[in-house]
Amino acid sequence: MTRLTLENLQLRHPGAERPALDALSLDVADGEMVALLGPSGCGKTTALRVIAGLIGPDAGEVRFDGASVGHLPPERREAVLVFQSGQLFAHMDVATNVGFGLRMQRRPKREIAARVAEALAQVQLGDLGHRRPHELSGGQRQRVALARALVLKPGLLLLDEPLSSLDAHLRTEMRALIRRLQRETGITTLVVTHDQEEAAVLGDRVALMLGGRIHQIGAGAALWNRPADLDVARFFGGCNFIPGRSSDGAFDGPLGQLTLPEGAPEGEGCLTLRPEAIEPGDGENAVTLRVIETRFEGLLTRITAEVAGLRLEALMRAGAARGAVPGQDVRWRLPREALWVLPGV
Amino acid sequence: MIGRGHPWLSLAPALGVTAVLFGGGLVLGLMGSFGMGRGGFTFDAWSAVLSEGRVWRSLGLSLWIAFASTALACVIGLGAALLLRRRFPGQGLARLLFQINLTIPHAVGALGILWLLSQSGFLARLSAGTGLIDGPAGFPALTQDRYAIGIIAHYVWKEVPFIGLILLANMQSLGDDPEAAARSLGASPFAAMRLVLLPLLRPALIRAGAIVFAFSFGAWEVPVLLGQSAPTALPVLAWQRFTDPDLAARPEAMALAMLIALVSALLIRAAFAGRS
Amino acid sequence: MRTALGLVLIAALMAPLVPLALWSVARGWFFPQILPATWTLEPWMRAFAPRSDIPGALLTTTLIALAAAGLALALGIPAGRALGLYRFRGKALVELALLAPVIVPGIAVGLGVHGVFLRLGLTNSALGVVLVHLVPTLPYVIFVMSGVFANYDAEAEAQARSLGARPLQVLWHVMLPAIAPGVMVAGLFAFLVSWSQYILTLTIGGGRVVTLPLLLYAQAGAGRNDQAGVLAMLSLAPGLVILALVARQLSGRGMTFGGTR
Repeated sequence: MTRLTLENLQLRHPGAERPALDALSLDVADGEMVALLGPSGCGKTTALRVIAGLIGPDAGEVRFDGASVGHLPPERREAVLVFQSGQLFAHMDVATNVGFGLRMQRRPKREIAARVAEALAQVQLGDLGHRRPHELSGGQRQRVALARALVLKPGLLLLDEPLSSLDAHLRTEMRALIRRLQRETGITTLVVTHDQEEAAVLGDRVALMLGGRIHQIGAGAALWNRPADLDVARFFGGCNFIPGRSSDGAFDGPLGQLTLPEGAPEGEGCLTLRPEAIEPGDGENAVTLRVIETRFEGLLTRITAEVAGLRLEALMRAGAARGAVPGQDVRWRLPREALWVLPGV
Repeated sequence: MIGRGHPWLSLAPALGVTAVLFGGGLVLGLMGSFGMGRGGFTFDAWSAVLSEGRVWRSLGLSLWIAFASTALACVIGLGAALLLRRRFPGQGLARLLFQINLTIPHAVGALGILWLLSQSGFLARLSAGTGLIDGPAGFPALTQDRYAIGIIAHYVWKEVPFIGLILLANMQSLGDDPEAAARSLGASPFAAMRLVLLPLLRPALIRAGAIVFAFSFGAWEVPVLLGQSAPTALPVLAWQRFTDPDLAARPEAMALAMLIALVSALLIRAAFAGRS
Repeated sequence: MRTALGLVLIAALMAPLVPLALWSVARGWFFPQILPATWTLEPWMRAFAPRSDIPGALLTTTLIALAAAGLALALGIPAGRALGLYRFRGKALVELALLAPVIVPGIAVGLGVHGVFLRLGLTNSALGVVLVHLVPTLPYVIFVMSGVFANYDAEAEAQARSLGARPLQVLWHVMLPAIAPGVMVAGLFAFLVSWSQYILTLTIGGGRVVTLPLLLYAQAGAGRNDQAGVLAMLSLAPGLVILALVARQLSGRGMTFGGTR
């Protein structure tokens, strides 16, 4: 099981205006699963291909367990890349597909057969060894692709959008499967995805990649609730940005004085607050605003309100949102613990 | 309007013309081989043709030409496609020449090959100029020779670009991912090409090969210029019988033409395998 | 390494064209001269002199090819539309029947057709040659056009009807512009196929309809290599023009036979 280090990777596709990888650095610990999250075109698939050895970076280093692998061709790296489409070999049956890598290692036939059977059982496709890829469903094909990689017990597993070609209900199943397999095998895994939910579920840590760089990496809800910069905040749907100055645990801005949680940075900055954190009612950090618009969005209702030239959006459940009528005033509470200051913005 | 339905009106003109000219031509040829244009139905022409040593030698020669040309064109064409799929100085020019080659009529190409490879041709003169040979006789007989080298050289020259461009188009639509996946699983570049790319190219290669085989077997203008007079390729023999002043040779000419059609019919399955 | 092989390939591709080109500007070029002793444009002047057969052959070949291409388009576009847009029983068989002439050598068809054309008075005539050229050109057009229509979004026609267009207007304003590039490719290649024909022209034309390939061999056979060289160069011309015109449409995908569909 391998520790992965990316150091200042730089890559520009020929003819492209902006670099695909811009001083990209990342550390993935041995046995960890990190979700590389970002919008399409941000360079995440390119990053995977560089790690796998399929493209060479213009600058920067890729290290497995501290040793640079830049000089190694893809077939000699301990990393296996599973493509978004699965890329099963159409002219081989499932068992031959799964055993392909072992065949390249020139393992004896009996060993290959045994390990293939084991891998197929692991992904719950035990008796489909003789089928051809075109006879399988999309979900089954993805599982074969996974088995084909896992059977090699690689040091590093690279998954490129493993779930995006699947239907919604299959996705939940596959997510659970990938999670379980990774925990069982302990293989260091890097999953690329554009889906926030997926990243949150799969990743021990989530790394947000924008414009070829990692803006923030953290566990659990850190990126949602404590974004490192405006881009990260906006990516996760943050929409309340209040400029002002923070000092001595209080924030001074157009809304007056707001009490900040402990440990907030001092100085000029931008206060941000997730829309779903706003609560109706009075108390600490309460503000009066004039409602502009309410919009029913299914599970929650989005209320846009304004005060002192500043717009705030809140997402509330139906009950809590009932009091908000366009043109009328409401009183909202901005819970101290939900406030987050982005310094120097 | 679109999707299911019977668009026979749109198909009728083309089907009609094809049936009359193409189908009719074949049927009439068959009938002619049985002597039916001159009253009566007889196997005379067929028994004469099938028992004639010259016919079998011509058939053998034509089969040799077709096999050799197709095999060489496929192998070299595949190699050329693999060569041309990556960038290198000259890639653009080579691809352009491939496309130009496709537009060159076979008659022109055959004449060019003749003037290139004959014993007094361009290569022979280069050899004389560098002192490798003394006179025309010193240059090996590559045209009008018993191994049909000149004929095969022409077909290879003309069909390598044809096969190459088809394979290049296929490789472009396949993309690099199949081989990349194999390499990520531990396959060397050569193994990835052999085990993953080639099987994916096989259907197109077979279809193209069938077309090349049929053409190199049944074309007339190339062996008539580059080939020996005896044994001569089957199409040339058929034409000789057809233009024989003795009209009794006509049915035999038709029989030979039907033989040629038969061989191509056997290739139809390969040529159209897996379409739609 | 790739470059070296590439150069060999390029040289091999150009090699047979060299003696053809050189003969067209030579006067007397015999063994062991590597290059013509005398360079001259005389062959070209003679080729277009009043007594030369070449201008006539050039005109004949061009007109026949234009006619054959035009007819092939007229027949092949609707057939291609039918094959590209519709699914129906027996479609595979129809496709086979329409495309089979690609595989069957011309001589197998020409000898049989000759008898009927003789009775119909079509032999030794350009009209007969045009008709028989339909055999190899039509499948080509059908193949290209069925590919074009397979990628054609027929819903655009429904949209136009819904906006009030009558069928003929739909044809003119919606379908034709969309398929125009494909039609050009199909027509130009049909032209080339007819342009290059030999045995069919010889069989039906009886040697009276003299096209460029026939004259080419005749001149070469008569030892008039310089005129043959000129004829070869003339025969190459339309191919180059067509390539230039079509390059934009094909954009690197080369020939479409072999199925990216």
